[in-house]
Amino acid sequence: MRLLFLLASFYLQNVFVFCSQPKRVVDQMYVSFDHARYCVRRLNGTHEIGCQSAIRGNSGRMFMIDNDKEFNSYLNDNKTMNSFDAFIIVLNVNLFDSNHIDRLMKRLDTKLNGLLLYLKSKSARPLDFSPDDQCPNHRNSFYLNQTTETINWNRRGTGLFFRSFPFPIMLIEEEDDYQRLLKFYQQFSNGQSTPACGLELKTFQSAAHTTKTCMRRNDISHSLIDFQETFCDPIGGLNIYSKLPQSITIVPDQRPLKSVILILASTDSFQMFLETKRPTGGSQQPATALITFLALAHLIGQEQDELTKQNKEIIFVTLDGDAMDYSASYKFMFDMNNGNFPSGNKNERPIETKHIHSIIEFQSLSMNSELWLHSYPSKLIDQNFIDSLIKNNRKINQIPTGTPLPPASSQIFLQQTSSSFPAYILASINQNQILNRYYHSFFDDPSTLSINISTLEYNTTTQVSQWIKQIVEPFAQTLIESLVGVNKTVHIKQEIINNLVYCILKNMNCPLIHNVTNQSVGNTFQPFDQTSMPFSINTYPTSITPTFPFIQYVLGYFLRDRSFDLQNLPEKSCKERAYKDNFCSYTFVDGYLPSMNSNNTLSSGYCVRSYLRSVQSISPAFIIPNYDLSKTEYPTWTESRWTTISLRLFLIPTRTHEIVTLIIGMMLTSISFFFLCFLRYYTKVSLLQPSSS
Amino acid sequence: MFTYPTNLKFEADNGCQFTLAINSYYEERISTETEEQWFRGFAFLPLLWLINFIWFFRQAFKVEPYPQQAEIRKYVIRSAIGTFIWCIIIIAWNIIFQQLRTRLGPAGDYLTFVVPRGYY
Repeated sequence: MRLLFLLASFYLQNVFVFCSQPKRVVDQMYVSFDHARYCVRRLNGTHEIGCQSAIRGNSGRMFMIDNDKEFNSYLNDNKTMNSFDAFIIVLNVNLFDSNHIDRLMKRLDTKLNGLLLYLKSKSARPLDFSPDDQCPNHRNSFYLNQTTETINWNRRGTGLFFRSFPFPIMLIEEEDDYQRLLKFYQQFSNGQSTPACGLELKTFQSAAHTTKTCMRRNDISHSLIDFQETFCDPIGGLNIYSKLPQSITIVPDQRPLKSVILILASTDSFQMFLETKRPTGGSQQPATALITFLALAHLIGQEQDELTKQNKEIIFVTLDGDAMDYSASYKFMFDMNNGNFPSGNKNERPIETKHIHSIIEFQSLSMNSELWLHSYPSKLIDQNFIDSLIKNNRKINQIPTGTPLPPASSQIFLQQTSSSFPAYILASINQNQILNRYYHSFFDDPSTLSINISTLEYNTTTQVSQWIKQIVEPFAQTLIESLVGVNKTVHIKQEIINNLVYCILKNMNCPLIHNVTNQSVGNTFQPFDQTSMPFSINTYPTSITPTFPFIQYVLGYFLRDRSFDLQNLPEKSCKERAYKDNFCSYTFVDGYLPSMNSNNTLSSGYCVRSYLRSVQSISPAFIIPNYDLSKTEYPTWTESRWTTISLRLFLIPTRTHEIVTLIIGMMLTSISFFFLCFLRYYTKVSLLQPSSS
Repeated sequence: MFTYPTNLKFEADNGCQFTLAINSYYEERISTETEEQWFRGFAFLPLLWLINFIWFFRQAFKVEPYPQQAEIRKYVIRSAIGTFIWCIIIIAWNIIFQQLRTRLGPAGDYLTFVVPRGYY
C-alpha cells in the first residue's frame, strides 16, 4: 500500500513540475498598455477639476469611435446601449471637445465608465488642440473687475482641463498601442455571439472636494499613527532670480528709484494628459521663451562691462506656477511687498515697487515671421525703447496701447502695484489671439518648431535656434542702447543657442550643465538622462524636476562676474569664498567654452562668482497664517496624489459562457466533495496518521 | 470577576444531566457579583453589561430556583436592557456619522480617525 502511495505521489509531483510554467493567470487574462497618459485631480478653493477612477479601477465594455459618423450612429444604437451596464468609450482624440463629450455624457449617463482617447499616428494629430480655457487664467486677471471687453485669446480652447469628470480619462499616443488595441477590438466585436473586449482604467486620486478640505485633512494627525498621509500638494515650484553680481546694493547704500529692470519668463505649463518621465509638451509655451530668456542673460553677461558703468540693475526672474492662475507672480509680488525681495540676506537692500523701472516679459513664442510687443500702461511706456526695438528688429510689431494685455505674468505685477511701472510683453500673440495652436497641451512638442527630436544633436543649428538668435541679439542691443546710451552691435555664438535648444527640448543631462556645475551637482542630472521639457505642473519639493537646478546653474553662470574668472582661484579658496561671502555664490566649474573669452586658457577648471536666489513659488494663500482657502483673493490650486495608474484590456465572455463556467465549477466542487466523502468512508488507511504496520 | 469553581464547569461541559450542587456560599457570591457588574457598567462599559448578561444568564433563568435567584435575575435583565440601549446609541451614531461626515465639514474631518482617500 505504502509503495503504491509513494509511486503515485512521485508521478503526481512530476506532472506538477512539468505543467507549472512561470506564468500567472493574471498575465494571461490582461493585456496592459504601459505608455498611457492620464488625467488627474486638481483642486482649488471652491472646485475640483480633472478626473479619477474608483479605487479598484473603472471597467466596462470597450466601444471604439473613430469619426463623427460612427459617433452619431453609436448614440442612436439603442440595442448596443442596452446590452451592457458599463462602457469604456475609446474615442479618437480629434473628437475630444466639449460638444462630443457633453453629448456622450448625456446619452450614456451613468453607463459611461471611462474614456480612452487615442492618437492614430504622429501625423494624425488634430489641427488644433487646447484643453485650456478660451480666455486663459481669467479667474485672476488684471481685468477681473474692470469693464474692459474680454478677449478670447485662445479660441481653440475647449476648457475641458477645468472641468470635473466623474470617470477616468486616459490617452494612448503610441501607434503600436493603437494598432494592438484595434487588433483585439476587431477580433472580438462581432455582436453578441463572441466575447467582447473590456477595458479597465485605474487612476485613483487621493484628494477630493476642495483645497480647503484637502489641506485640512493633510494637517490632521493622530498620535497613535506615526504615518501622516498627504492627500494633495500645493502647486508651485521655485521662483529663481539672478543678476550681475557687481550690482548688489548692501544696506547703508540707497538704491536709486526706478533703477531695476525685471526680465520675466515662466518655467511651467500644463497638460490635461501626463505621464511621468515622458515629454510633457510645452515647446512654444514656455520652452522657446525660456531659451530666448537664457540667451538674453548670456548677452547681458557678455556685455557686462558696458552695463556696470551705470546704476541700472537688470534682474532675470523665472516664475513657476503661472499657468495655473499666476500663483508664482502672486508669490513674487507678495515677497516684494513684504520686503523679502531679494530673499536670503537681510543686509541686502530690499527692492520695492518704487525701485522698479520696468518689466519685460517673454511669453509663448511660436516660430512665426512676426512677433508682437504688448505694453501697458500707455502713460508710462517708453516709446523710444519700443521704437528702437522695432527699428532693430523688423519682426516685432507694436500692439496699440490701450488694447488689453494677453495672458501674462505682467498682469499680476501691474495689478498688485496699481500699474506704477511699464510692462512690455514680447509674445507670439497678436491683437486678439495666441498663435500657438496647441496652447497648454502635450501636442505642443518640438515638431511644432520644425525640429525632428530624434536627429537633434547637441550642436545642431536648427531653424528655431537661428530664429531665437535673430530675436535676442536686437533685443539685447536695444536694452543696452536705452540703458547705457551706447550704440553697439552685439553677437551671441549660435552654438550657445543650439546647446540650449538641445538641453531644454531633448536632454537636460547635457554637456552644458556639466560644464557650468561642479561634478557632484552634474551627477544629480544623470537620473534625468534623456528627460526633455519637464514643463508640467510642479508640486515642489514633493515632485522633483531637473528644470530648477538647470535654470539656476545656467543662469548663474551666464551672469557671472567675468572679471572674477581671471583671478584663477584654486578649488579650495573657491570653497572658502563661498563660505565667507553671504551675497554671492561661488562654484568651481570646468567651464563652458563657447561662453568663455578665447584668451583665457584655463584647463583644469576655475571659480565662478555669481548672484543667485530662489524662493518657493506656492501661492501666498498657503503662506499667510490662517488664510481662508475658500477666498478667491489668491489662487489656491493643489494637485492630488496618486499611486497606481494602469490601463488593461481583457475579454468579457458571453452570458452562455459565463453560465457554463459557473455550472462546471459548481459541479466540480460537489463531485470532488462527494468523491472525498466516499474515499473517507471506504478507505481503511488514513494518510494523515502513521499506519500501524 | 467571579468564576465558577472548576469542578462545576467540568460537569456542565460534559453535557450530562446533573443537578448542580451549588451551595449557598456560591449563590451569595453570584448575587453580589451581578450587582457589582451592573454598577460598574455605568462607567460607559456596555461590554461589561453584555458579559454580565451572558455569563449569569444560566444562573438567572436555567437552573433550579434558589433564594438569591430573583436578585440575580433582576440585575441580569437590567444589564440586558443597558446593553440594548447602548447598541442603539452606537448604531445610531455610526449611521449618523457615516451619513453626515462630509456635511459636517471640519468637525467631520477632525472626528475621523483614518480619513478615506479620494472621497468627500
